[in-house]
Amino acid sequence: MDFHNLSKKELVEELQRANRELWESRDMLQAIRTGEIDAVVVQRDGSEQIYVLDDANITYRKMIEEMNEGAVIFNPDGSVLYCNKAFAGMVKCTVEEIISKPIADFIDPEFIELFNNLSGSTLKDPVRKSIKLRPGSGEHIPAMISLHSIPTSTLEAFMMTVTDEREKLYIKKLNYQQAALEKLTIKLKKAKEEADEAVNLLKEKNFDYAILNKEYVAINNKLANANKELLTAKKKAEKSDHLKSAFIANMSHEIRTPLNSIMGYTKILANSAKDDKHKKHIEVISQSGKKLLHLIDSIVDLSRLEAEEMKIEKTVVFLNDLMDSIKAQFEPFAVNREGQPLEFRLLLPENIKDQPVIYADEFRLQQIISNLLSNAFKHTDKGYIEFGYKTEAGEDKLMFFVKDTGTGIDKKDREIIFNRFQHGSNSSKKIISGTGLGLAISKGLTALMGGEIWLESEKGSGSTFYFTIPLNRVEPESSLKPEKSSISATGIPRLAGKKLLLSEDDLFSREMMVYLLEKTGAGLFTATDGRETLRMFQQHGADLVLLDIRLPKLDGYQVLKEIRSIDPDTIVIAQTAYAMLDEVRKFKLAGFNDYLIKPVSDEELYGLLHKYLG
Amino acid sequence: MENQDENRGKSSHSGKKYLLRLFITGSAPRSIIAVNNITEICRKYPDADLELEIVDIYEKPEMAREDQIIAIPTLIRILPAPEKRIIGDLANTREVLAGLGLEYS
Repeated sequence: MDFHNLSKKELVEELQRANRELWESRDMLQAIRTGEIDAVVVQRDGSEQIYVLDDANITYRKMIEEMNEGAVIFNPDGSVLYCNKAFAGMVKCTVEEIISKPIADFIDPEFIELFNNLSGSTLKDPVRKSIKLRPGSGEHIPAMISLHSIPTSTLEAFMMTVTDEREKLYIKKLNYQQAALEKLTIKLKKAKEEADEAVNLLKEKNFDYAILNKEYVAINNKLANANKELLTAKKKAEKSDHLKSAFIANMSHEIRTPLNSIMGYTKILANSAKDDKHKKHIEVISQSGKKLLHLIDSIVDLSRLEAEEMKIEKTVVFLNDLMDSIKAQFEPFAVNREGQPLEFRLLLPENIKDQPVIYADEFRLQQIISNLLSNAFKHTDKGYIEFGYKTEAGEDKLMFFVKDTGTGIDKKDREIIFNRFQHGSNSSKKIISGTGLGLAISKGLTALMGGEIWLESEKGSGSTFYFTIPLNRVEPESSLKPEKSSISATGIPRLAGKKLLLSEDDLFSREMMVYLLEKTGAGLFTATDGRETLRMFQQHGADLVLLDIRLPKLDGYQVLKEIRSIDPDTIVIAQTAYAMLDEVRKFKLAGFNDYLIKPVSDEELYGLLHKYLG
Repeated sequence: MENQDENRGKSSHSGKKYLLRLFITGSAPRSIIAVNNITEICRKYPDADLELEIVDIYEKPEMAREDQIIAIPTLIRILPAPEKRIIGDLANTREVLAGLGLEYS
């Protein structure tokens, strides 16, 4: 340095600087000499050499400085005096940034309490604790600390080692996860085993199912067979039901035919009865025959109603005339069992001038009223019986009634008496004859006509039966009163010179008819089958043919067809059994002039002969 | 404690900026004591505009050359000028304060 160029002031300043450096060098030398320093830095070959003094215990210091655990020294105020690189790494700062700063700056506030008011006296024993570090950035770090007080003469301080627990926790977590995974694996394995078991079971079950299925199919087949059998049985039953109906129809025919003869000849016998005793006996036979006939008719009616084969034949009906004729028919029965007369009244509505003319099945209407009246007479010993009909203006139905003062009917019996073969339970007190079919038939007939039947009764004081039918009035112009049937007894027609041809296969019926027809004086030819009838007609001709419908070889329809082709004007009367009544309409369509229902009564036969040949 | 610090801190040096740099060698005992002493001093003058810089010469040896450091620990007063150096563990507080130009209270 060239001091000659400096001013006086500059020289003073330079002197002061040199003096200061001298003092500093002297202090340094003094410090080194008294051991007040840790190291000496020497410049050599452009780099710094640090010489550490012997008493600084370099080995242990080096260990602390380089170890992976954090190490921090701080004083009672909490100022950091030292920290190693590991700790600096944990809190993401440099060592220089940490030293001299409060330790609290690097601890999660939650755990700061521990570092407040620390002193050698409060921390006699080391403290181990899990805390969290607060790094300069990022998440707080879990750490295990071990806190010690360092008792030295020169310095009161605390030393803390810090273990980063992230890895440990991570491992713990990993272990936990591992354990969970293992558990899961076990569960999975178990589940798989169960699944396998289930699969096996299913396989076995499947086998079972196969067997079951087989059984099911077998059962199904059996069921199908059973069904088939059932169907066959049903068909059989239906067939048998049909057969039953056919049987009834046939039986009725077969019974009627001999009955026809019995009744016919009974009548003949009655006319030639020798004395009263004989007359009485013949009367019994006649009554029994009538009852039998009625029974057969009832059975046929019922079986038809049940088979829904019954047909309603509507004609023009003069209602009051019908009621009058029914009254006349029952008049003889208006006595009780002791022979005392019973009051028997027909009540016709007084509010109408002209008698109603309606479309209805006269035969069936009469049948119902007759059934109800016969019941009334059967059950009544004293008092009266009255019957009639009512009609209200504007009403579209007629209501008929039959009232008696007889025994009456129990409430519990009121429903069942309309069932077939049912008599009221009280009937045992009085001997009641009857088929038990009358009310059942009446009910069936009313229903078929579109009406209802019911009764009102009080036990001991009589019953009233009501039934309704739809009211179909006939317009006045078309209701010309027909000529009263020529059935009215005008005696035996005189038919001399006329030719009659009787066709009847049943011997007794034929003989009875022959007996009745011979009385007319007409020329009579008989035939026993269809072919013979036709042959007789071709040979002799006839004014009137009485043609049985059910004829052997050639039936009535075929015979009629042939007769009509020979002579369309010949009167041909069909003879039919009651069971064939449905055929009446067919007769008309086929071209028969009229019909007779067997057993043929002499009145009917003679009536017809009067009508066509008289 | 804060009240006491306040009383101690009342001094004429307020407004002056102090920049101090302490050179240490890791966990060496005198370095630690030096840190302890200088932080104590800093704490006693909370009002003073004191900035302390710690330099570990193990971490930054080049800093030793720049500041021509020979012995550790050494405290340098960089501001206010002129520069002043104190060598050792800074145990003699009176001497340190005098050296730094801070009034002893």
